[in-house]
Amino acid sequence: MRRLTVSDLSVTYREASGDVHALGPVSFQVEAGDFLCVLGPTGCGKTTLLRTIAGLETPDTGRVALPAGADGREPVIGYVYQQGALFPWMTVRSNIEFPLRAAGMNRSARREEVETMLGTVGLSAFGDTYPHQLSGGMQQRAALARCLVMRPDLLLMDEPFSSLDARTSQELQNSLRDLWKKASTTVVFVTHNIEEAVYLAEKVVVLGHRPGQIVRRETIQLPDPRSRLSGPFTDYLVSLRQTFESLVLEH
Amino acid sequence: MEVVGTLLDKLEFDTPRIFVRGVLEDSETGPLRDFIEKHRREVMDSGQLIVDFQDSTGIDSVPAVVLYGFFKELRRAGVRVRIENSPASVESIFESLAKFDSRGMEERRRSSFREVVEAFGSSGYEFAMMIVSLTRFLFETIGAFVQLIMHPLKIRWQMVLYYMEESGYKAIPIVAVLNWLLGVVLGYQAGYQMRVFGAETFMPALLGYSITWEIGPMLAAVLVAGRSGSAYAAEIGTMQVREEVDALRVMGFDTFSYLVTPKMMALLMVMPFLVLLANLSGIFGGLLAGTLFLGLPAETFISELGKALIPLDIIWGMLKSIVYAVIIANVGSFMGMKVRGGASAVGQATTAAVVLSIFMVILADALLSLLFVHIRPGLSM
Repeated sequence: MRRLTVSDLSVTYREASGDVHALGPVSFQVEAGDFLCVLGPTGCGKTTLLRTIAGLETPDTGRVALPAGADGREPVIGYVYQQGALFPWMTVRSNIEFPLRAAGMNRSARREEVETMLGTVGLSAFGDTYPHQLSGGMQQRAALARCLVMRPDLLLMDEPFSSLDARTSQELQNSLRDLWKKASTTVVFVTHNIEEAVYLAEKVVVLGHRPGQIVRRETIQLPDPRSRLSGPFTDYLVSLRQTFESLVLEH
Repeated sequence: MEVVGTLLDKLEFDTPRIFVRGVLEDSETGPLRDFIEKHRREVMDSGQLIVDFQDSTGIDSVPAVVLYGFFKELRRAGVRVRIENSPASVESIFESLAKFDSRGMEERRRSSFREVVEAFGSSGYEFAMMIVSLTRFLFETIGAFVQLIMHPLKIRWQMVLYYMEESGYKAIPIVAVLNWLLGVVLGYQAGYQMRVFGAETFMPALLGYSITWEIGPMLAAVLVAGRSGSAYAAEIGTMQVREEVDALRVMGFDTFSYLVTPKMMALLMVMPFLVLLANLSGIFGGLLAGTLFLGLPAETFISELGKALIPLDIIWGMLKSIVYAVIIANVGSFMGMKVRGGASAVGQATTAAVVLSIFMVILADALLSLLFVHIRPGLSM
């Protein structure tokens, strides 16, 4: 089975001030190589969902079946965080090299992979700089490279472009779609930005307010290359916007 | 506007009276509030309010609650409030509101004791839970440590050396100076008291025992907890806030062997020598106090000290410091790992790390002293 299956997943945080039911129950499947956007208002449990899929949180009920890796090995998961989470004491090159070194790849193969990856994300000239010397957009490129270099079977992205300005964020959306098609990896991308979701995803699920449950599932059928100005694009946008409006009113 | 119009039919204000006609309904709560807002100033100024229900037959609960709230506010401000000519239904609703209100007060008053007990219990429970998870943390670290010892090539020696420098080498001046000062003070004060009995030659023994058994190891541990325990908590806490710890975990790293064990290993290697240094500088301070203030020659001091101390005294302090090293490294890292949320949580974690590690160090010291009494020759009663 090479698809991601999430079934009846629900998560509750136990805090000193009482239990917070943060998510679910939610169920969905993502086929191998598909691009799913989880769209939802702030605080609906999107991040919790990703963290649970990554194994960083333990669910109360339900389970996550990860897509098995090629030739049956453990699946490799990449996780791109909102703020990048690059290691500040390492150069961009060492950051990208880090997971490969951990996997025990030898030095020359490692170097080669890293250089290719730097080229792919357009950071060839910045290998020796430190993360804080880069702009926000470049940091996110580096973070993405650090994940892609592991050739992940599943790439989890938690609002990676939300803290960038509109232009940079569009630029990165374009590169992400290109990279995804080349890498043919499964992506689960979390965002509260409807346009981003429609532009990037093949499938969209909309989560309602906390505890987040799926209120709508949508398949985005748009021809490539996608244009943000085309009629069908706007139709999806308007229709999803309506779902969002009703969520706000409900709240 | 219509609603307000019909409501104004039901309500009429003529200082100091409000006349109510018909039935005030739930749907009219908004206009009722507007009415109160409009006349609040006048009512306050007149110092009294009479609500006349002569032409009224009843009131819904929500307007009653709103009116009651207004009455309470007025009474607090010193305005006399009276309800006149109210039909039984209106009277009973205001009565029950008043009853409910006073009962609420009673309950609140009664619960204050309960609240204290609850707060005490829940913070105690939280503390106990924290100790439980700290213990679990400790075992995981020790597990990772043992595994690493088996494969010494996997140890991040670079990090171990870095922490040895940060927590050991850089702590040398402060450990030496403070213990030296304490040695001087202790030597002088003890010797001054003993001289009254002509017993100042016993000062070196007293100083040697107190420095090597307690003060040297303890002060070194307290200083390391303050310098490095807090630094460990802040370092890991900041990584936690920036999601770097999660990033490591998702990449398949064992965060214990990556973040915690190098710190513990470094402390294990430097603490015994810091304690040795603390002992030496404390004793040197005492020697100085003896020669400068008490007229005790250095040779006498050293020979007296030699008679009193046995090698176990020095070794024991260094052994104790191994326990302290484990405590400080683990409490610091544990507090850092526990950080959730933002930058302020990192600050709280550093404080908590220092307080808890000093507490645990003293607790461990007390327990180890019990053991020491049985081990050291000449101490058991």
